[in-house]
Amino acid sequence: MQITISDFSDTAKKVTLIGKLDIVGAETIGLPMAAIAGTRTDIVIDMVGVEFIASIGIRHLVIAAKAVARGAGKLVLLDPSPMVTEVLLVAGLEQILPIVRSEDEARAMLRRSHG
Amino acid sequence: MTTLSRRFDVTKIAVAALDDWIAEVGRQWNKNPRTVFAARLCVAELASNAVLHGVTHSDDDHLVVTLRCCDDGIEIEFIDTLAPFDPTSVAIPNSTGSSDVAKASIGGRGLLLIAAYSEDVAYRHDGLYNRATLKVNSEQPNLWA
Repeated sequence: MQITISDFSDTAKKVTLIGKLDIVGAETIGLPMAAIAGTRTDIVIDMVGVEFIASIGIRHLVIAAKAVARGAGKLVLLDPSPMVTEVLLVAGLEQILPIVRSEDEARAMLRRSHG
Repeated sequence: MTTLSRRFDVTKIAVAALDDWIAEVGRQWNKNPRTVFAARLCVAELASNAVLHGVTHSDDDHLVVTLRCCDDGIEIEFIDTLAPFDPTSVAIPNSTGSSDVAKASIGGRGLLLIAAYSEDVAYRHDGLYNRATLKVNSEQPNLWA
């Protein structure tokens, strides 16, 4: 699992994940995700390169979403694959971890969340 | 019916190797990608649970995964030498999504995913091994699990 953090618009951060979000991948992203979520800025997680996700990976995404929300921020997932999307839907997370299909859609959702 | 079996240590690295093995076997058997994904997911949940929460007995504790290729999917047997644990005895959490991030549970979704992505889940302990069996196919997940 590779994790890259960059700026996304003026106020948000983009986290790009590539690989498997399994037990090993979750361990890899744990610290950097906690650090970026701790800043409580909006986060867009680019999921295009995530080919597999298990509940241990979902756990880290939910922890980050909760941390960001404590600062009135929002975390959105950018364009996960159909099978990864399905796992998130089965887990009942479509509102906790909203999915967008483009960066423009992500910007619009973040704007709406700040009223 | 082709059957393949492999033994793994109870470690995080071994769980990753186990996932690679299932993906490779699925390709060799030319299985539907959805079937292979379901097999990987269910085994990842069982194996991760063993690594993270299983009560070990010795350094020789291990997992053995057996995959059976059948016409309509893959049958899986997952066995481990850890303390007895019946995954079918645990209540499956409600999958209804919450809109409140603050109230969302952090974990507890592994068994929910197994229930959604497999069928015919069964468990027994034979005195040495926990033995979980299940079957996956391209029709899963059951979104209403």
